[in-house]
Amino acid sequence: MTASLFIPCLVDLFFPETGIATVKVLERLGVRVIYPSEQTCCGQPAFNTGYRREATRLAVRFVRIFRDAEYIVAPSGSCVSMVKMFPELDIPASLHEDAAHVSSHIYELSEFLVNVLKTEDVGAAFPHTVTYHESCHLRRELGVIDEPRRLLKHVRGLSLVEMENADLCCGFGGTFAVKFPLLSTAMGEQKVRSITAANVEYVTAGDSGCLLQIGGLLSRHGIRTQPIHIAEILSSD
Amino acid sequence: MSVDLIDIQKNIREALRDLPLRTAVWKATEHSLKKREGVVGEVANWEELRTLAHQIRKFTIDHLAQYLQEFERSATANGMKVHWAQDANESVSIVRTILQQHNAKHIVKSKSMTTEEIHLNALLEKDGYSVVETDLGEYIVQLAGEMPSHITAPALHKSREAIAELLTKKFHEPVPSDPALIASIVRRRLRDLFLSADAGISGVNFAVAETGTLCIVENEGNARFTITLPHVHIAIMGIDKVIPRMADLALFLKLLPRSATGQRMTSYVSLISSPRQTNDPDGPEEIHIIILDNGRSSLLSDSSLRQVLYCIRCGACLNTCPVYRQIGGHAYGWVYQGPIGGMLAPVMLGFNTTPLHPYLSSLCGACAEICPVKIDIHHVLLYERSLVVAQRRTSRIERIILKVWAWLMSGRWRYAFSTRIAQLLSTIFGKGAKVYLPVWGQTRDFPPAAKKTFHQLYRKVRETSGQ
Amino acid sequence: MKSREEILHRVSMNQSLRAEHAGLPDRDEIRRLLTWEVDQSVLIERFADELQSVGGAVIRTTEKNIADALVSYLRSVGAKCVLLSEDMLQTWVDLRQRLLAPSGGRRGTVEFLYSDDSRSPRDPISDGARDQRSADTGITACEALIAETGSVLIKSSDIQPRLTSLLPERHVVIARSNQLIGTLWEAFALIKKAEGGLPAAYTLVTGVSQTADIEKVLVKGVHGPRELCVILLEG
Repeated sequence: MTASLFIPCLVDLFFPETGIATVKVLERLGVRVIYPSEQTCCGQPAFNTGYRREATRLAVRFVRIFRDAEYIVAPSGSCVSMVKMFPELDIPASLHEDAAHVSSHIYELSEFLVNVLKTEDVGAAFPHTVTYHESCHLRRELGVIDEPRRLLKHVRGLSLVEMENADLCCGFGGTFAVKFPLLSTAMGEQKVRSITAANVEYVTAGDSGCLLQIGGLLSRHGIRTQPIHIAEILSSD
Repeated sequence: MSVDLIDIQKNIREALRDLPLRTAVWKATEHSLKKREGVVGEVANWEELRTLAHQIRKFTIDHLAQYLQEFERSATANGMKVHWAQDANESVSIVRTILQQHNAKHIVKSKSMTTEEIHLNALLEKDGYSVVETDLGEYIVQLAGEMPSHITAPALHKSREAIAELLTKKFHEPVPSDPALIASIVRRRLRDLFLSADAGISGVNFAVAETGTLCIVENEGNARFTITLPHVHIAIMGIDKVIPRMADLALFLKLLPRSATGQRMTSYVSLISSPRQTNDPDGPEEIHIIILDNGRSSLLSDSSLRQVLYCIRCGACLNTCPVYRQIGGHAYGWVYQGPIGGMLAPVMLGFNTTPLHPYLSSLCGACAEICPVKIDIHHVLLYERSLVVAQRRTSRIERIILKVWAWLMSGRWRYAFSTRIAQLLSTIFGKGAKVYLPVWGQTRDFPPAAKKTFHQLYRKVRETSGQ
Repeated sequence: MKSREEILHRVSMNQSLRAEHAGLPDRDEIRRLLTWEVDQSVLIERFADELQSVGGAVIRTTEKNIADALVSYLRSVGAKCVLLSEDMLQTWVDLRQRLLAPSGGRRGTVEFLYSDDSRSPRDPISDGARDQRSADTGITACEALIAETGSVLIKSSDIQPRLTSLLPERHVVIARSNQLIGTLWEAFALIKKAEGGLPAAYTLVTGVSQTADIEKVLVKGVHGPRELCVILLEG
């Protein structure tokens, strides 16, 4: 089985260790990983801000790069959601089939591990207290709710603590975070209150955008809880 | 009706500074969500109900002309008078005419978002009519000279102390801050007004086409008074309020109370089919129904926006919206708030007046999850953003930044170049583990760009995993 | 009328967008989702539970004992002035004999007013006080009792003013156990079936008047009655 890796721009530039962890987890489970290095961005920032023409351009590029992939795996619920919306964009007719293929064969990491590889124990060890934040796209666009928790429960030594309002939006929302910075912050602080109450060493999630927001607030407020992407927990040993 | 540009950013700043408001809104919405969870959890086929409700609303809105005419026929045959108003001004003008015909001066009103939408009270009061809101929450905000801050809980933003203080000032009698005592004082005052009112004006929750019946849903009993005591009852409804059959009403009455107030059923549901019949001892002698468009029909022309008309005004989307829960209703600047307000604003008030409303959302999707008629709310907001852009209502700077960004992302070497620039800037403006970013950096830390991006690292990764 | 034509034109114009006409869901589909097998033997218990959960009370008795049950209830809640219609007395003859003088009047400390004879609040002030306003209790019949929600379905008619169940602080319903139905769906079926056309008003009463408009604190008896009691006649 071969998986083509899609690395979101946030991960590429700010959290490459998340990408490395993703490769490690997949290879440990016997998946051959390909990384098409011409990849750039799925176009979500443009799409979410209403710039469909620009988003379509990037979508077309993505489809061309990944058209032959058996599976596409990305450590990001929001990017995968974006790709799944490609058929709604004004993509040239000649690429419709490829767009359909790409959007139906792309998976977020935890979704891929549990639902495609049928694995819940990836052989990881992470002896720490952890709470899980549900990224909105992962939960509501992709319907991935149980899978990350099941994976975390099998990590040796990991103690999973549920926070209150785990599914409450962290306030990132992409460009929303800079369009309405104080509002975004207020929403994030609500989340941070829940995380603080959980009293854990780490908060994890499947989206780097969320972790950027949550981490930025935890750090600014001097709270000891560290943000970490779920891929990195799953690749630990 | 022309509206000034709503200054959303200013409203948000003010709302965020108002800690008592934020506490009140958070607590009230939390309470509503918990109550709803209880009564929805016990309905095993809730999801099937939602799906069926969506299908019925879809069919109705897709055949709206037919059902509006059927309703008009049935209601008229029952002895009610039906009027049509294209916009707010026309609807108020019709109300005035009816009031003049009956020499009516003192009017009582039950809660109706539609009447707020057309600014009915203000316009009638200018002409010398006295109009009193009789729903407790609406009565309070009317006295305070404010707009309601939530679809089903208009005074949600006010503490009991604030309410007691307001009423003490207005009544010239000491009003304690105990909710039960406040209610009994208001009950006494409004009872007198009900009994002497010349006309009653209400909204409509559902208008059944099959039988020509108005359905009005409430908990206090003030709507029953409003539509029973005065000689004239005027009911104002948007064109989207019509439903095909009584059978459909049974379904919507299962969904609405549970979604809106976490009740299995509201205290009173009135089904009004005619004025007082020949030997009836009470009831209004005349019932006038005003069917209002006011921009709703323009939602029909866009197949993606049509579903906004499915809304049954339960307010659940407000309760679950993480944005609404932080800023409350007033920040949206008009009568419809939260996710439903975000969708309606640009269409009914104009994209030029409310270009930011569709952006006032992190697109979390909690609204779509909770909507009893399955409106795909956050995707509608997303679609409206593309309309804002297509109409060139975004700032020039933003357009330029987006275009440049897209250009940089659309080529491998351009992308690589821009990441190198980002890394450089990060080194210059960074301090150890943090980088100061404008806007973001006001309240949040930001990590530096990685010394090597994943792109740059990939070959190394290949080597370490031995391939 | 110009506006009517304008609106209908705008609405019709925008309907030709869609080609598909997946039909309006059948009534049976709705019925399937809103009804279930109701155990008749526990219908009364279910109704009583639901009514109590929304702040109402149930008194179970038999037709023979209706007068005693009613009087003892009225005494226990301290009712002073009770509003009801002549027709109620025709229906339960015993009531007339046990309770009332020919044109209303007193029974012990309870005064009974007939809605047919007394002055309705909207009538012009003639002689004496506004009679119906002084009632603290209103007694009505009903069309149905709905177990699913603990609701009472009442309708307007020539013999039962709408205000009887709205003006006084206390609303008492006299119902027979064979008026009990399981679900709201059946209530709507009943409404549809009603012969002679629809009455001016049906009111579905579920509990008492209430509001949570002030800090979400539940307060009862805001405008409508603050007490509701159903006297259920069995056997």
